Amino acid sequence: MSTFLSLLASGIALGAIYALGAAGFLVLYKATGVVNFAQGDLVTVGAYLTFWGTTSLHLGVWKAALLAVVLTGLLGVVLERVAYAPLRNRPHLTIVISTLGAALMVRALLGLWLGTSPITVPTPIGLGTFDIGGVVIARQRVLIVVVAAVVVATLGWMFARTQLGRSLRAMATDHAMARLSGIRVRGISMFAWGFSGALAAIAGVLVAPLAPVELGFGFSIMFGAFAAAILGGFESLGGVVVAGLLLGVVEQTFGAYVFREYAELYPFLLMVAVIAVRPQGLFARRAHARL
Amino acid sequence: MPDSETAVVDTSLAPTGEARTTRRRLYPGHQFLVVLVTAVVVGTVVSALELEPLDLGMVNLWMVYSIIAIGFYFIFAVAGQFALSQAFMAMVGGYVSAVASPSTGVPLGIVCGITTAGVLAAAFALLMRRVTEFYFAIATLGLAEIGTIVIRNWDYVGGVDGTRIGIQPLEALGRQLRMQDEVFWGLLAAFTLALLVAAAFERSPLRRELIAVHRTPEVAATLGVPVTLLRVTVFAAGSMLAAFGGALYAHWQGFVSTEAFGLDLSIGIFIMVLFGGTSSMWGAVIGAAFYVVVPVKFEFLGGYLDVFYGGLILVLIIAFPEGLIGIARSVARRLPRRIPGTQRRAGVS
Repeated sequence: MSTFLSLLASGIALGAIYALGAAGFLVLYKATGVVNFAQGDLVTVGAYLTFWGTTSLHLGVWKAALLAVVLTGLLGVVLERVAYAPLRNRPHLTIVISTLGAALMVRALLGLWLGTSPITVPTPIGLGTFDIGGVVIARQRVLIVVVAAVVVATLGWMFARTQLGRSLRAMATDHAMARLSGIRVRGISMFAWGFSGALAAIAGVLVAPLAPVELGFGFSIMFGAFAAAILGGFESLGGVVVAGLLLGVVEQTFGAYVFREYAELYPFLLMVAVIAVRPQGLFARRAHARL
Repeated sequence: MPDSETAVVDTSLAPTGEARTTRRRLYPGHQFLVVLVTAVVVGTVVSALELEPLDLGMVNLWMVYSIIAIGFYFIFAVAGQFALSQAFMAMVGGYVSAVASPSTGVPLGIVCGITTAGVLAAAFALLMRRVTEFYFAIATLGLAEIGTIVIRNWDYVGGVDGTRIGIQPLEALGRQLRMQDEVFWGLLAAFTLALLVAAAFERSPLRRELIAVHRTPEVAATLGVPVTLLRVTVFAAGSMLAAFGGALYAHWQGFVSTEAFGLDLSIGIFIMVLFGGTSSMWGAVIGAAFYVVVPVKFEFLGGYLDVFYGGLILVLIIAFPEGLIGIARSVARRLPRRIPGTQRRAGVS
């Protein structure tokens, strides 16, 4: 039982990461209606920049993590200028392709800059564990859940209550109308890309200390996050969080008992299954939302 | 510049100024001839040049990649499905053919590989029939990832850690093709065969229906075009071409590894079609040549190769969405106005 509870706890932590990643997809989708192929690589960038900050700049872990999040956010803005803005009026498929090109460049440049051998990313709270009545939980996983909860709550408040959130939602609904209503679409589009990049970096910074990190690190996280985003319906933050937690728990608990040798398959299997079975999301009222 | 809606797709359906005034044949008959002439030219030039084995190897690789890229041209450029599974389908062809050949012989083994990929692709496309664009792209990426992990862990198919060695060489007319120049003639035959099949497809009504399904699925459906059937068929057919190329590669090299057919190649295939041009199957052939030559001739790029490819995708998609063939066509379209009396010719096809 205690093993199961431990697995459940790491499932929740993994789910929190998926939810964070999915929130990154969601912010971008709400504002610009596109999905970014480079999202996974931005997760990797976040982890690598933290490593760089602590080893090359000799910063403390918190400062390095903060720097990584800010810089990845800026990279998101650059991506908006390079890979999205020139193509905004073209078909979605075109934008998808350009983000793929951007993803390839980001990954290659990162490899050239910081090398391709696996790195170890430090954590501010150490690698110890909590032992709560026989249930062993890594401290890092507790940190993941706490940070993710704070970020998602802030995000929810922003979407619902602030002018910025309303502008974002207005842009997603009708870009031209939003512009006519005086919303500064250009600035907000850049903000959304930057913010989405920062969310990806937070996910990367949080999950990286759990295992050595290499260039493909963000790749499988992207699949889990994308599955969560679809399952959550690409609409509501709440739906995405529930979906992320569900997927994380399923992956960790099932992964420990069924098909153990193929545990690395789970994010991909879940994602393919979600797209095939429920592309409109768990909570969609209208079928075929916008596929 | 073409209008924004037709950025990455064929423009042959779009009404142009000329279409109203000049009468054009629906299905030009010289396509098979062009294929045969190409084959003869390639054969003559290569045997006249007496290439070193290394250069001959590049020509061979070009033909294999062309076969795979033409499959992707149908899936991506004609049917508008953004699939990142093409390299994986080539992998399926390679491994299945390698497993089957000892008991069935090489030709039948290749057929087994092609069939397996076709069935797999059809089943997957059926499963994903409601899915488009990014969703389809990432689902095919997931399929490739799952398949690669399975092959790597499944020793019966994948050998040790996904590297399978000791694959039988290609066979033709009862003899084994071992030397690079023998392989060349075998591959040239396969290349010609694949191009002929592709040309038959290019001039069939199927192509038009696929473009219609791609552009306006709802309208196509109301006109009685079987949308799902076509989508599944083209994905399966394109994947089978990939498997053909992959199987040829495996028997030619004598070994296969999952790395050789990884995401890098999938993106590479994508660059081939995008660079050569999305409006004709010849774009894939030209693009494949480009992709084979770049790492060898642009050695100075070194570790920056992927940066170059990523940047190339961005530049192509932003500035030249129609690729080389598109550029050639728009040049050709302007020429007759300056030289009166010459008949208009549209690009390569």
